[in-house]
Amino acid sequence: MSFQALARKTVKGVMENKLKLAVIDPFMQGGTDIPGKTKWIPIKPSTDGALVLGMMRWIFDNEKFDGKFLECPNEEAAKAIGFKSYTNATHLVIVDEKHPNNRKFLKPEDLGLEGEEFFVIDKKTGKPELNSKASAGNLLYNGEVQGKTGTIKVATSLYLLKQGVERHSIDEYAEICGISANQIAEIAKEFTSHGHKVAVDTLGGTNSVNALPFTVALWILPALMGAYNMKGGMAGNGPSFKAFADGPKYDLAAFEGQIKPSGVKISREQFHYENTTEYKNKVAQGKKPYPSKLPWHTNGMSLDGQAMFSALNKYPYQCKILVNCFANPIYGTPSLYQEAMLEELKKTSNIPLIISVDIVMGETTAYADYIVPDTSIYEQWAMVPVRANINTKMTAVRYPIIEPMTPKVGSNNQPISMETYLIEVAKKIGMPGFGDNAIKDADGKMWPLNTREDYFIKAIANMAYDGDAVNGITEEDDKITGLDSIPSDWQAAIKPDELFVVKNIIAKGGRFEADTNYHDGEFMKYGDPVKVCFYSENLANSRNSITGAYNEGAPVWTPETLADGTLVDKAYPSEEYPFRVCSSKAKLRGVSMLNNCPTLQVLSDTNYIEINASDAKELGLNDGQEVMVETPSNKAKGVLKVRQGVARGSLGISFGYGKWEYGSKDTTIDGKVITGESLRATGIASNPLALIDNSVKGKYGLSEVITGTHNRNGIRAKIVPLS
Amino acid sequence: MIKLKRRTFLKLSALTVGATALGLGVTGCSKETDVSIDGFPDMPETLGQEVEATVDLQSGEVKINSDILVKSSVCMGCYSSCGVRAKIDKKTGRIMKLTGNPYHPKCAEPALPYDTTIKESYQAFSLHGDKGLTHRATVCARGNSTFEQVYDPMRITTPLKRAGERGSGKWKPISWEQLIEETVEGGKIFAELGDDTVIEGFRKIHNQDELINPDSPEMGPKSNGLVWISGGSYGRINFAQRFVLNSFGSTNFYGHTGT
Repeated sequence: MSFQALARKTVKGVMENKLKLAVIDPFMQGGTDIPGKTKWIPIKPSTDGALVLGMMRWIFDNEKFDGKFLECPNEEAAKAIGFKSYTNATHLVIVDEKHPNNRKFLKPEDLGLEGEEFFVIDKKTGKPELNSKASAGNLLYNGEVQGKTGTIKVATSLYLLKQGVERHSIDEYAEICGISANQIAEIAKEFTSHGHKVAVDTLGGTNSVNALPFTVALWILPALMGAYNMKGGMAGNGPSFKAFADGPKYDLAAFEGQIKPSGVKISREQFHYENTTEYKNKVAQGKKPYPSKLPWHTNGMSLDGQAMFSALNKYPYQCKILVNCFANPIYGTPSLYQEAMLEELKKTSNIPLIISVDIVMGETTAYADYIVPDTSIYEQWAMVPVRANINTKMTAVRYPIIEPMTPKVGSNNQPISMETYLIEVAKKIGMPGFGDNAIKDADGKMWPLNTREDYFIKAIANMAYDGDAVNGITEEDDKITGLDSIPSDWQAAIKPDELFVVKNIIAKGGRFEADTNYHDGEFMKYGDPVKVCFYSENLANSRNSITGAYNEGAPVWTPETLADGTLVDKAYPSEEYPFRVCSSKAKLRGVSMLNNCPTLQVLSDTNYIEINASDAKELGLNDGQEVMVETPSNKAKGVLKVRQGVARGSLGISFGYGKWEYGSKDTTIDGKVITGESLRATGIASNPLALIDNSVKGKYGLSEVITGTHNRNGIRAKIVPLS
Repeated sequence: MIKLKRRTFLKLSALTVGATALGLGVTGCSKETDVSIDGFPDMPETLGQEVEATVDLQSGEVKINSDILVKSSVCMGCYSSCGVRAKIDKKTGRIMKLTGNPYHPKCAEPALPYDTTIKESYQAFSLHGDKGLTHRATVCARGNSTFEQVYDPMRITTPLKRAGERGSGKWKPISWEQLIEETVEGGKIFAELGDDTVIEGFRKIHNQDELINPDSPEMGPKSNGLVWISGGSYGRINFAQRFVLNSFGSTNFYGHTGT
């Protein structure tokens, strides 16, 4: 996401009457309102799934999906009618409890044949056909096919999606999410009125414990219209130039002695609990295999917060060395900063060694055993790829534009940084890929990796020669930018003839393709053809490791639950906890950074607990009043801001405030006290308020079992006045 | 004096444009944003910074201020990763100010054609040929402020070791050599705090031959005992991944995607 580019394009589109803008958010924030043009739809926190499924219900009821596109069972069929993506809408799924492959796609072996393909009901013959052979399939088939040993009940992916969507009426969806049925229909109608020229976007899947069906359903919406890879429709992430890859000049991906990591990630992700020894032993001993000690997130991805919970519980194995690098999971992970968790974090018997690489005493760094000072963003190297909504090829470059403030150390006289530390550790142990002869160039010559530049400048050389080579820097530009006097060890990191093109990239802050160059006729220029799945075999065949229940293969409305399936609403009834906390990103704070920037402190020194004016009136609460927000797991003080722009029943708390370290506290170094700056700690943080999941035996913050995403939005809360 | 007046005007227009972009006027915004502009306030001459270059409006000729360097980088005030241009005082080596990078498609629309020279790119900050209107590159308030954290007086620039219980706020500076020695070799590294526990360092944990949990071989080698959590270090995590995944051999590398 690029917010300023997105904002600019949106405002332009809206002002030229080419675009309609509706903001669906419990928490209306300045910057999203274009006076007189923005429609604000105040949805209840963590009910986004109900809105999207309600829209889908309207689309099915009114048959507004692009049937011709959805009938295409393979890429060629889709291309033949002018598309560049296809879906598994027509693919047959076994829905036969007696069949050993129930919940899976019908495969040739189920019919006594060979191969790895899928089946559809051919629209021409009405008979089962391989998806590669048919040009169109039956969209909503639900019936039987003749299998190896008898008939098998099957249904298409689209049928299963529709069936799930039809579990609730539009009125019911409206009731759940707090948006009227008429309005849901209106949005759905608008969405389906532009053919494939529609798109959706979201950030972070909403971070609530029922986020998965919402996110999946949201990506399905444009697929129903055939929008993927189409000009005016959906694009994947923008493409990058080769940098750290096996590039045209240097191989920065592979090296001699390279290890392919193996084993299960400590975060309990991307692995089925049923494949663990724990599960197999329980079954062998005749015990009930469920629940597992902590939930297994079979469809999670890079779950740092869950890795922290695993480390605190020494499950499924012990974390021996935790390195926190330019990160802050204690501030960033809901429910990690709570007494019960912190007690475990302090014990070296749980995590024997914690090392933090940081520039300031962050909330996580404060719990480290050792701190490695790092370089700031303007003192370091980085190749930054484009992130969505710019669809031309680009890679931006960060380089040390100022002399690093960390001292220079070691035989290579490098400033202390993450890279310097890792090179030194690797060389001391004799690990592969670092030190002399670590990087191979395209001619087979070996180069050392002893400095940051040895690695990063080679990455820029790769970028420079990816496709057509970039021009060299002009003599005048070389001088103006000061690149004519770069240190000799920078120059020594690449071949002399590469230096002039590399300098041109550094001078311009990266390599950028013309931003008008994003499409190729009616298609997006970049992005391989995609297959959008309406039914996921992978999901449908994974289970909740606490209850043993299978997950749904297609999105259906799912209320928030604890890991054991108990409804959050039942555990913490709204009579006692009438509010739901929802988090937003403050415009004048970083995600967990920038509390130490004086300009931002002056512009907006604090945040508030923001509440709807009608809710405040009902409870007799006033603007500016100090209150305690109490949740089932924690409480925190804050100041109320009463306004219209918050959905009823919601408490808006913006992120980035309410910090308790980051230089706000006194620190003792060598017995001397360094006084903290309290201005860095103003306001209130919502993450420590998040729920602990007591249905699990270990120390575990409430999370969605399937993906491991956290309870940041939808935290049940009540307000107790303090003044 | 003309220069000063123009800068004063620019400051004011920057403020009002900023106010619109930030959506001020939405019900319930904080009080300090209620800015009213009644004419031009008097500004002392010392308030303005020296300009990096001047551009002749007619000819487009660029005259670079030789006391100032302009260098390109990428912001990390949030995760949008906009392109920035930093104005750097040559004498002090310090960043004076940040603006948008006109070559970067996130910051200017349309972006400057890539083959435009750096010298010509200064015109994108002027009104010569309307370039300042068509290619003006911007960053938000966060983007403007990120450089201040570089100069945070509380910034950590020396290796530190805890000198009390975890989280107690007590530290002592240690040498680079001690940092490397103790984290690599481990041992009774907290003996001085009365804790005789033997802690394993990187050398012991870097082990592909033994299992981390012999009772559950699927968990993989002892190297998996290293857990690496990376934050918003976009564009440099590949270096850490080279170390953690492919050299050390641990599967436990995390970005911040889960939280």
